[in-house]
Amino acid sequence: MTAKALSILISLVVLAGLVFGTVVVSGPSTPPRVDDPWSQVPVWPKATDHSAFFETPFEDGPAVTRACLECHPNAADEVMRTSHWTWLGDEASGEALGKRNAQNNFCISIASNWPRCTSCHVGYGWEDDTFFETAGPDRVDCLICHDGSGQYEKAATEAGRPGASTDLLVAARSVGRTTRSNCGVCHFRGGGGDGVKHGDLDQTMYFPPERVDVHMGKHDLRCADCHQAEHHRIRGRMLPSGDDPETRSSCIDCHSAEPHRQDRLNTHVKSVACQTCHIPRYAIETGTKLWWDWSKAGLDGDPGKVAHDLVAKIVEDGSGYPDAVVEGFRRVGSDPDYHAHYDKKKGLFLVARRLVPEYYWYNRRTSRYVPGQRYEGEAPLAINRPGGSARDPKAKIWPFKVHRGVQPFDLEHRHLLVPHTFGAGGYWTEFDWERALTEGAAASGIEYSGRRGWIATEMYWPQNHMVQARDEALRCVDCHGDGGRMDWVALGYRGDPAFTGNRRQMDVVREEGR
Amino acid sequence: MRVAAVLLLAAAVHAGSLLHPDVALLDADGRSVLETNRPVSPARTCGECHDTDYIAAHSYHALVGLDEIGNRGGFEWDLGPGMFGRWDPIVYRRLGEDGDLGEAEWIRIYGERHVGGGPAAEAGVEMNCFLCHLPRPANAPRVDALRNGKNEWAATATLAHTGLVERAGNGEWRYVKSRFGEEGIVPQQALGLTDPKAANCGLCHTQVWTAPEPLALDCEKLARDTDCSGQVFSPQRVKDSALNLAGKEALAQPWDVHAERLLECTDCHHALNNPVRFTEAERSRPAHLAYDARRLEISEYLKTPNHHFTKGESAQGNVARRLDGSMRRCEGCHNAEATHEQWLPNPRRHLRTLLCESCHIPQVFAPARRQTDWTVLTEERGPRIEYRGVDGPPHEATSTIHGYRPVVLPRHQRDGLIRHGPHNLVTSWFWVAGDPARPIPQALLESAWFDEAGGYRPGIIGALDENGDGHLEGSELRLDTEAKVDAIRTALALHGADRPRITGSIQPASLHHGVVAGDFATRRCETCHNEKSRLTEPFELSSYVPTGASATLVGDTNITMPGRLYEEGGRLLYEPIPTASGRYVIGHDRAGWIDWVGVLLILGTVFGAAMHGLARFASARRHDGGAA
Repeated sequence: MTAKALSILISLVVLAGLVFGTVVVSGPSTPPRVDDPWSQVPVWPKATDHSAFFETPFEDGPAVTRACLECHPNAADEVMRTSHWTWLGDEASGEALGKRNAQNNFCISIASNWPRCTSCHVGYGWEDDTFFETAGPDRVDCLICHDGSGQYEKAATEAGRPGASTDLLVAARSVGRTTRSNCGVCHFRGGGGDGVKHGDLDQTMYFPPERVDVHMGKHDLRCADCHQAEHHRIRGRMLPSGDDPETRSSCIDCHSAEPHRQDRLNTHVKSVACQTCHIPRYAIETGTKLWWDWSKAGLDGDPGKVAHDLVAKIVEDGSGYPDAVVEGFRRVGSDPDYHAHYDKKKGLFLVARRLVPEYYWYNRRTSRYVPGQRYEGEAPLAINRPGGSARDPKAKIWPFKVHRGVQPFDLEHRHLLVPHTFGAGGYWTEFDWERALTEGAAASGIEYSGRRGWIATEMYWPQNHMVQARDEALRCVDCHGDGGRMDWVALGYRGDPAFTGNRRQMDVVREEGR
Repeated sequence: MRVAAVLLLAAAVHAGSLLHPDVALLDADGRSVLETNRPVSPARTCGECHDTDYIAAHSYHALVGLDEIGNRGGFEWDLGPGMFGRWDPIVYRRLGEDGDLGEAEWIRIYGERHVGGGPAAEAGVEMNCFLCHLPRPANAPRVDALRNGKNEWAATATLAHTGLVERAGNGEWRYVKSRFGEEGIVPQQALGLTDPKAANCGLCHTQVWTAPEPLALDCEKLARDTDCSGQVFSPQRVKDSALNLAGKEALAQPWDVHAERLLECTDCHHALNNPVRFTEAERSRPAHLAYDARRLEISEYLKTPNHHFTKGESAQGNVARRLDGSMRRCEGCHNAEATHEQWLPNPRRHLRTLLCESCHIPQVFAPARRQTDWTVLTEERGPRIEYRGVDGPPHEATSTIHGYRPVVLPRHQRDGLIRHGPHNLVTSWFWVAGDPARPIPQALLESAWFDEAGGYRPGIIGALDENGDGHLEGSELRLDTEAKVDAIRTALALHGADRPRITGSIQPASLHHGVVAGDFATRRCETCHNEKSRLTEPFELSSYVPTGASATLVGDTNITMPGRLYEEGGRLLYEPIPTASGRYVIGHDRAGWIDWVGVLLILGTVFGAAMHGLARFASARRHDGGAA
């Protein structure tokens, strides 16, 4: 080895030592916390232009479906396995309880009322309980989810068939990726009207400003960006009894599980759902129903006057009514538009907007009232109830809309009854409870003894939409301290955890393995 | 275990109101007020369990400088540094043998911001425990009682919201027996006695807003600290307030982040001997001891809670200066270096030079007083007042509030450091007379300006009424010409003033509230390290200067104003010059010798490189020549 080569070698060794030393001295660097939600948002391929594929007008909806199936032969079969078709609960667990057979405290049940309720079914012609025995693949309604023309619309009372004014050829030529309109036409109008049911979904979500929803307003996301589908199985469940992550859509599908710059906020994530802080209010622009009293249906007269008199009584003597309902009616006391609060067909409503959610523990499992189940407990009867408690390490505090109401109850069998409301002989035409309940029982198989009563019920609706960015999210003072919105003791704490310590510090809950 | 113990202790402190027993309201003789129908005596009522004599003697809120008479004040004529003894150019009236304010009147004027006791004790105003320890003290009835001379009823009036008392006429109160329990005992639920909340402190100090409704300022009468500095203590987001604030939709920060995060004033300004919060100051703590575990027994503390509260080192906090720096400052709770070292170059130097507030109070969003001009009197017989941060009178709905950027000034701390922090500067113009100079009494001012019928004297109108409409309004009420000054000077002399002349004072108000979190703080280096550095922004002291007058900094503050005062367009401005106080701001300041060193370094390097190259070249030629 020459002296020149030796000097080069020594230089390299010294240089390597310097580099290594620099790395050692500077120490391991902490990787920055990454919250890059856009990396998780799918970049959708451009939808194929179908405008040249169809030339002759279609006779009816099934004819369009048959045309679709020529190129997408598995599509109908896939759809028919989903809860959008079966209207039964959890696809993964095969749960046999869903919209098809469950009861709620809005329109109560689809049994005997099919043509009206199934106007939002992803199929054609569900008119009675024989539908699933006879319906073939061409009964799947492709257009309701893929129409891009904006003029395709199911008739309100035609069991899912499109209205007469719908141009099926135009619709078929326009198909593409699902839009907010495709989803919203049913989901924004659940419960029989705009924003009635969910509280966090209404027609403002078609084109919401940022103040209503940051995802769909500021960032222009579509429903399907979060509710992604595979083989037509769409992620996202409202209140399934099981917690199958494969069927759920979640904030952390896109966001980091610890997305905050402040450690204190990330600590909250163990016990507080993202929605709790980022959905400080719901029904922001459009009112939602909080109370539906079927027992007041059938009163003649001007609806506004009827509502005014009923509300005045409740406000004056609120005994028997939940505090939240009395307070809500007190606030509508000065509302000149009482018509919104009464319908002879349906009874008395409390409709309100810009609402503060109620907060409960929720482990993403839900207990359900099973139709026909004998109920001996005290009112209100919880038709569903979120699972979890402070002692459940998987449970988080979650925001809910709680829809309360009064509905028909069999005093002998002690179960909820099914009224026949829509169509010939239904309550909405005859205003005869006896007949409506008898016919409802016959259609649903839920027995009616003839001893009719009323029972207060409640349903819990977790809030997931109308998300606010951090500038509008809840802050410490909104939940903690004297004016905080949380009832900490009711949630299972000794007191405000900002001062008494969180549930882990206070040994209310222990991590697994401790 | 230790964490749990701390949490339990903290819970006990916050649940203090639950622990308080029912009480009997007693009069000054210690008898039940239900029997005597005499005013409640807080000293006797609370003194059943607490040592109220000790409390009153150990409370600078009660003493307000009574125990410091003779110490240095802000003006040469001051009796002392506290609210009782120091002349306040905003209030104007002056205590002292040659002053125009007696003690009875002091109570009427200052009583609304005084808790009682101290200088008011002899006049029957006891230290009013209810004012600070009731969740909803009735302050307006209390102030009414003091203004009407019903001093002994002031504490009773404070109970008005409890339903235990009702007005009896003639400024007195009677007791609602049905609200009392058996044997005249008042249930704790009725009183709700508790540790003081921010709203209690706000009654005298600053605007506090904890309600969910949009924040509104009572601009007709701003709380004193809000008036002088624009500070507001509220968890509400600025954009959610009801203020007519320009561009507020983008202001998502809370009025004060500490309020947002549930801190109460007493969390920082606590009783000196509070065993939960006490930490010994570094200057008195032995070097070997990080934490002194010995604590006062809680029972002993409850018996004798020292009502000297820990305090910072604000420029305007003149009373009890001996306690300056006794509170935990920002760095007592926050690990600033840990949170700043990731992005802030040289954090230690920044933190030694700047108060945290310099960056964390970048903007004030409420109006703040800029000037008080007693050289003229308005029709209401008050001074002409102007605010900064608002483009009109702050109480008018049509005025748009812009807020203001505070001026950053060096503060001389007790620990020897000089750190820069944000301030407002309130300029006052006023007449003095005699030798030694004293502010001309308000009564003399009024007699010079107004006739017996209550209107401006014709001579005054003649001198100031520029548009000749017979009224003095707007800019006419300013002495901005020699002729106007002469006219008023002559009028004052005619009414007995000895050689009247105008002088001015500059009162700093340091900002420690209205703090924002890092997201909203000043983060960009070039904000300060720039030719147009925020640290050297001119700050308007007065929108006009009375002809021939000049203003100087009050004498009892811990800040200095290095830089220059100058007039521009009739306005009086202050331009901070950091180098005047020995501070060199990189990016803004230039030092000539550094420039020369740099030039020499460059030239030297070029010269060295050239010489080296020349030598190599010569050497190579020699080698080539040898080889040849």
